[in-house]
Amino acid sequence: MAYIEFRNVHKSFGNNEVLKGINLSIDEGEFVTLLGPSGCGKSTLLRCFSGLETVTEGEIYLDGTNITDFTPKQRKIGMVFQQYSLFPNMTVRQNVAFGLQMQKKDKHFIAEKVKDVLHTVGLSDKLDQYPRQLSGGQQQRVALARAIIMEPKVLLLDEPLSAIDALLRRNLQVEIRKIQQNLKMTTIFVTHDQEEAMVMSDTIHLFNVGQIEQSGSPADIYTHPQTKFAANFIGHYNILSNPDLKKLCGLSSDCDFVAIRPEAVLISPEPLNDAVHFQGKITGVMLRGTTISYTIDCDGIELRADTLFETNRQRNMGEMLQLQILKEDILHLH
Amino acid sequence: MKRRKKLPYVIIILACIFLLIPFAATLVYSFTIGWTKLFPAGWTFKYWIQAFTEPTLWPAILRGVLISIPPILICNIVVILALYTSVVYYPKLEKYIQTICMIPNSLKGVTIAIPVLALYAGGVTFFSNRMVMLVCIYSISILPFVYQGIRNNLHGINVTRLLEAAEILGAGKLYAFIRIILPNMLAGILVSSLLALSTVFGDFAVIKIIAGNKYETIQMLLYNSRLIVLQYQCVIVIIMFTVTLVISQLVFKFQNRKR
Repeated sequence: MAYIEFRNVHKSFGNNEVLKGINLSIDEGEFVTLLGPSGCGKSTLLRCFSGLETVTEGEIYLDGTNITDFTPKQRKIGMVFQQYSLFPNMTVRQNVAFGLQMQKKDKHFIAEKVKDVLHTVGLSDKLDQYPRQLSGGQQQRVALARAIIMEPKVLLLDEPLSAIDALLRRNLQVEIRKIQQNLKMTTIFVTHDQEEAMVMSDTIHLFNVGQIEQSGSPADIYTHPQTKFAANFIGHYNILSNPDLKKLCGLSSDCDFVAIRPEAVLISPEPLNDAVHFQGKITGVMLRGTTISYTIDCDGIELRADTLFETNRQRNMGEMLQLQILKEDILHLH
Repeated sequence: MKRRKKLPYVIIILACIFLLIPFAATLVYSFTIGWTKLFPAGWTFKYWIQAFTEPTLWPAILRGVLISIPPILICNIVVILALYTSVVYYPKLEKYIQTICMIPNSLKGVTIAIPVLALYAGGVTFFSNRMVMLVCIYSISILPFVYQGIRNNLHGINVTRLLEAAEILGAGKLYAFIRIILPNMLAGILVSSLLALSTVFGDFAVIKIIAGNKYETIQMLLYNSRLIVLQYQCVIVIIMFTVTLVISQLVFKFQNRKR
């Protein structure tokens, strides 16, 4: 039996069914991400697991125990919310100590533990400051410290980085992952940011309208999306219908749609074996840091091609290109 | 650019002058013997000495403060509990609570008329006691101020999320409310309580109708001194203002120290 199991979990708000029979297993020590667009049910599943929402149907198991009807307190979990939810009237020290005080632990033990945990998240010098005196990133680290000090069986992170600026977010992604690996804490992370999911996770469960669309390792999901939604959401794939594929390169698929990664559309005059060849005209150029994205019109079919950004080899708008795609890079979607 | 920077200061100073003129005029007048066409005829401390040697002054101030406390306490407790329940458990009920709390604004006359009728009827129940009636009327009259202040404060903090965070950490809802939500509502409670205090402390009409001369507050003292010289009344007005100011400053100081 897996460490965490969701068995046929349904959740409805009135007539709106938000979770439609979720079956999910998570191993101990794993960092799992629930990824999906807003309103797909990922946060609801997390809240059902935390006990903040009740399930309409189905069962949830943690470490072999059916916790479906347990209160949040009984589940022994830690949670970090999107808006930090630090207690504004308490200092960092008091916020972090709150959970242990609820467990009526010894004062000396609490004081030592608070210092340890704040050292782990790099906030040893902020002990007596109030949340309003901290930056967003620092507040989120306090929230993390407040959750991990309880040594929870599972750490739940509900879009904890979405209110933080890009640079700090990237740093915190690495820090959270490092802390999780050091503590070997089973973690469920909710996000709508596919890059964040890729960076942090052992396993990604991609959600769409209350169901799991696809599960797998980040590399697996990125390179082998199984549905049109997964291809669109995960990798900004070029999605082509079967007739469009035929028009583009003469190939035909058993499926209705195929997906091609933008970096698999090669701008190269030297023909490769096992590749399809065609021409296209650049209609858009967009610099994305280390890569550059070209929008290419191929006889009425629009494709996106990503290449590494090289200062001296930029293509211009209106330029005609020789393009090719390896046949193995054309993914057939179910 | 410089002109733009100065403008807010000029507006604030003008507003302060406008608000302070009545107070300054009253204060100045309380020290005068009389008034010629343009200037005072002379200066005196007579009326101030008279006011402070008046044995009824401090008991009247104390009575004014005392009659304010029970309605403020009752009203705060009722509104906090009602709003907490609606925000946490039944959000749909909040609009009804708002309507109920705003009714006294439009039906103030009715709230006074009912006890008056009861007084004329001469009943001997608990509620026909004049002090109980006063407390009840004031509780209803200050309801809109107290409600609005607490409501705004409660919506300013994310109550549901804070309670959830506390619950996950092992706290019960009631404990979380007392330890986390209530301290964060203190500013709103104090501001609305001060508003309520100034309303009750400055009331004359209700106390005159319900209690007559049986419960002399400073407002009643002011009314009863209407036949004495105007300077004496000015002294009482300044004392009333100062007492309210001191109370509010003490409360804010206490609040800042807590922070």
